[in-house]
Amino acid sequence: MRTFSLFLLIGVLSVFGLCSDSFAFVREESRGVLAVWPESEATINLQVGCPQTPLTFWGPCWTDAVIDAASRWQSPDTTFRFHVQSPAVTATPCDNDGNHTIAFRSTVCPSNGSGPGPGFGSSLAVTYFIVNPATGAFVDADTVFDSKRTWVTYPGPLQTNAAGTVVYDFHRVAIHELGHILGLDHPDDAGQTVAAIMNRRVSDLDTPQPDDLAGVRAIYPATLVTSVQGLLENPQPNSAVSGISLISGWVCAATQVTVRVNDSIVIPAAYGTPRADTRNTCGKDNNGFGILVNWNDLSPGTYQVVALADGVEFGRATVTVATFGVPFVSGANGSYTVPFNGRNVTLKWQEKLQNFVISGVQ
Amino acid sequence: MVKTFVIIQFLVLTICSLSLNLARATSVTEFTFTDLVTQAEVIAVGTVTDIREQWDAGKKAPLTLVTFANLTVVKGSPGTSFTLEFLGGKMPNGLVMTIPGVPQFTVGEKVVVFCAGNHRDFCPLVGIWQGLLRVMADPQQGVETVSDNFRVPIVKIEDGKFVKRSPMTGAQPPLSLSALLQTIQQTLPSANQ
Repeated sequence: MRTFSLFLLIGVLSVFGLCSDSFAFVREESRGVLAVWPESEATINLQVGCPQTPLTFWGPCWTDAVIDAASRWQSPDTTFRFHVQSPAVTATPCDNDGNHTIAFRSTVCPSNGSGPGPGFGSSLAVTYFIVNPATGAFVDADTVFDSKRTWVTYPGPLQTNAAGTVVYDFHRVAIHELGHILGLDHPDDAGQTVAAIMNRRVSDLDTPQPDDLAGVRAIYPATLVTSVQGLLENPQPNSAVSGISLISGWVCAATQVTVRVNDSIVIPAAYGTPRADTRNTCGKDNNGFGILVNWNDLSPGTYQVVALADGVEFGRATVTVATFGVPFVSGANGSYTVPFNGRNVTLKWQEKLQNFVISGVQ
Repeated sequence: MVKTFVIIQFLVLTICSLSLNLARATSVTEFTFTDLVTQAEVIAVGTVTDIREQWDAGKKAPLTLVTFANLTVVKGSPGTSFTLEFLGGKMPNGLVMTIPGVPQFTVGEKVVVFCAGNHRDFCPLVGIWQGLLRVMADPQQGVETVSDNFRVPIVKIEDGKFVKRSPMTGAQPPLSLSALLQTIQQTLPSANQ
């Protein structure tokens, strides 16, 4: 048995030696100086808009897909935070304007007036950053996606079309480009082999891997991280949900609150509504967030609802969705009296809420 | 016991090689050797003789101009020397614009370039880093050999693709520059059809 264990150890070590270098992340550098955001944050200016047909995943808009992609880089054990500039401003990629713009463009830089700007060539998307070579501090970073390509979003392994061409998943390319913006380069340069979304090749990987996240932690160590103070109040954990109802709660500080349902649906929530009851905790009142959801849009089943402040999770609930199998029940009505808590309670169907409400208590 | 180990190692190696094959494209579209030859407007072996950075006021962007001389031209008519224009470089205010993935050059180094879109695209190499091979002197063999942009030796061209040195290829000698040029010449007629 001991011999077998030794063989197994040697086997595993030799295989790891062949196909995996642990934590082989590579940092961006400029003139030999490592690039870093001095404040451990970057505010991205999203000019990607919405497609004609709402995105199947992380949509409905390209903007939503980028916001979700940014959230994949953020975790409580790093100080780095992406923020989203709101409202977005009109800015020109290639300009050193301090707006970290992410946009669709037909050329990498704009036209110079005498001809088209530099083209993408064979690139799908290009990130360029401007760095102070003396300090390594990022000054500007922009990403442009080739608008002449056909983009979609989907999770999991890369898909190919009928012609055998890879179908371009905007979401994973956005994660990769955002990785460049925060300061990571390609670990598979120089012949390294490691599972990473930052590899220069797009692959079946659709989210940052341990090596990628180790890179973020190395650049922006967690010593300054403060946990997000907030609460997801509705829905409650392990509860049933139906009809049209509110996902709501509060959080002390956020540029953007988003709600993610089962990793594939990301919904920006309205944030900043008065919640005087949170003043003692947050030191201010405008901490409420909320988003109205029609649960009928989902198939019946169990879902994870996650609330995030600038991509950092602060609340989670598992819910069971029950529906009538259609997005909106029209023309139905009825009221029913049931015994509840020692009283007779009348429940009445309310179409606008797609649910029953208490209309009387005897 | 040893048999068990071999089976385990085979299984893990299989999983490992499968994971290595997951990459099917690149964030830059992946190019085969044949793609490089076909899509290049100029293919040449040359020595980097000058690297110059300049500000393009019209584009409001910095450019890096890399000049190649002592040419062996395999495709196209670039003249006795030519200059490729890359987006990026030093700006008038001293800041530096960098584009991840765009190759860096050193004056004096010998390279093979597969060029397309010069003065048109942000990087005038087919497939960005894929369109650059570095020529290395092999003092033991007394020949010049070729490596990829990241200096990983290329050992052969098989089924229209570069095979690079890896644990799987073992200690095969690197591909010589002359063999590469011969293969390009052989590929050119069919590539241009």
